[in-house]
Amino acid sequence: MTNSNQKPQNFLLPLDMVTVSPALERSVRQRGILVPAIGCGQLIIDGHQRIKAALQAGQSHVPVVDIQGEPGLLFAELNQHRALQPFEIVSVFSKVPDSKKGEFCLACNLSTSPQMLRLLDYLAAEYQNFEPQKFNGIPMNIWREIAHLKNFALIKWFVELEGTVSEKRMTASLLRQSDRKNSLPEVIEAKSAREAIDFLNSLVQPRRTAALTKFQNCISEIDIPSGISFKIDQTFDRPGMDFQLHVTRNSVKRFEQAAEIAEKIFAKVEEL
Amino acid sequence: MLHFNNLYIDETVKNEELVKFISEKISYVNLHFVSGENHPGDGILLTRNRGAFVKPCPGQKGSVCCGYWVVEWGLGCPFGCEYCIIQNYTGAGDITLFVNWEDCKREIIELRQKVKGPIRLGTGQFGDPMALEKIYPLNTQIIDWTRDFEDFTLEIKTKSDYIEPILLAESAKHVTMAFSLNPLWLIDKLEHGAASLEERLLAARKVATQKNCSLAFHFDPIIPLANWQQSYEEVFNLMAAKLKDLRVNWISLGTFRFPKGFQEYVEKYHPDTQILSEEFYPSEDGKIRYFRPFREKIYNFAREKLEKLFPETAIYICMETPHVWERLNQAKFLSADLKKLLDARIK
Repeated sequence: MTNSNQKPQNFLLPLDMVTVSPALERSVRQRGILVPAIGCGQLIIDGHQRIKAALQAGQSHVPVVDIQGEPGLLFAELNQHRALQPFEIVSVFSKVPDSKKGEFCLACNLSTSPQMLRLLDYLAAEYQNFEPQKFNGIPMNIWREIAHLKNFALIKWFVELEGTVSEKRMTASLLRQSDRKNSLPEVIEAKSAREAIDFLNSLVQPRRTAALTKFQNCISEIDIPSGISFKIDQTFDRPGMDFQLHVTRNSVKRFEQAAEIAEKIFAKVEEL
Repeated sequence: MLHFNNLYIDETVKNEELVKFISEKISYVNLHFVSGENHPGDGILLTRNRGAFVKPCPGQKGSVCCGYWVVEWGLGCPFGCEYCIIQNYTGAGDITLFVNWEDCKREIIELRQKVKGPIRLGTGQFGDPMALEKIYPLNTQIIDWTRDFEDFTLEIKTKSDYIEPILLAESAKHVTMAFSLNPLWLIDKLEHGAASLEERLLAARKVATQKNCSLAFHFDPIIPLANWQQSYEEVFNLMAAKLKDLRVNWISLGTFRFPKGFQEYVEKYHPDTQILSEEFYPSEDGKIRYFRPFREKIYNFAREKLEKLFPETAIYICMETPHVWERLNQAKFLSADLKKLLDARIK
């Protein structure tokens, strides 16, 4: 291990994708780099944010500790304390030799399944074509869910989909289920994750969707008086309905009305 | 001959005769002496059961259970059924066998002394017992230990057609020989290493006619893939044709279900499997099952067909919720009712 003051030129991560917080930029501008970056030969493998801040502050030379080993594996090892961003994983993955790719995935807490390796290969080639915010906004556990998709156009569609992380997680789960059922189309027209969820639900859960639709149609046909409300188990695992009645001394008849409503629903929705 | 990469022998049993017997009946690459019941993986472990051999069936909380007793002889199975949860608990193909049979014998005798009324005791809860009987002949022993028991049946469940130990037994009237069944194309596709449908039914006929023992059949798991009604009806009709005039104690029905995490396991070992292609939802007991109205449709279909073909046989549903039982029977049906139904078959 050697220490030096270097003019860094080669980086394991693409420096344009690295973001620097204002606090770090201020600190490096005022005090310089306090903790040296780590290099492997001429390649910087850790400390990209500090170096980018230093370059932005006009500093051309930075302290670097040089260590020996496979750069990609060292990078994973040095970053065990934090969750790596998707662009970090895929950009380093593309530089790891094939014989070490499995080891790299395990060091990043990723599966070494053929599906995951196929996805990482695709993303390593394509990630710079995605909008960085959307690409990095997808946590690795969601990437895991969509790793089984062989249709890369759907992966591209999924990354660009508008929606919250939670909606995207749901979408990914439904994509996986739909793929298991061999019901996944080549193209999905939905523009948002919300739309995609509705569409995929009808593919993945046709029995439940049909039963729910039947129930909703039935409800819309019945005139339900105020003071009576009810709910059902949306997965239909528990049959029947939970009724809630508000009864005053003048509306005791609601018991009978509720019973009539229940009879009507049961007659039309046999799933209940 | 069953082959293992590793044979692990617990130090405390290394001088047992049974350990020598099993070691000679299998082939293995490496031999290790270990301590305790924890399986190190990739092989077969011979050890002591430090807990109880005889236990009430570990039915799920919230399910209607039949009051069955099980023998915990170890864990594992040489068959590679894609839907089987046992492989999720062990490594694929790993087997643990308990060799302190003297404790097993004592507990079975104590069970008969302790429990008043009928006892149904089974050995098929933790793996396919007949698939291992050639190297681990525990069923042969239990048949002998229990031959004078009153109000008792030993249910031996298998997907094999190996019935020699029953045929050679002095008496097997107290045995219920049970076969798990599925349509042939599903057996070929999912039950790797198990006997064919025809072989199982032939074995059933042979053992019942030669030894006068009772039969049972388990459609568990029922997997409703394409044309499932037709596929299962063909099996029911084949059973009726092959088993005419034989006593069938019970037939159970159970739809495919699994705990959380099992999907990942199946996809890892069987990436092209179709068994996860239905709609699944979590039940109150934590297990994941088919859409409840669909399960009811399957049970209604199978029960109606089987009741016509086997009017004297108890057709029951395994590990289902009281809700489903109530809807199928149009009346409440609880664990005590199920126990009574099945106990009546062995009197």
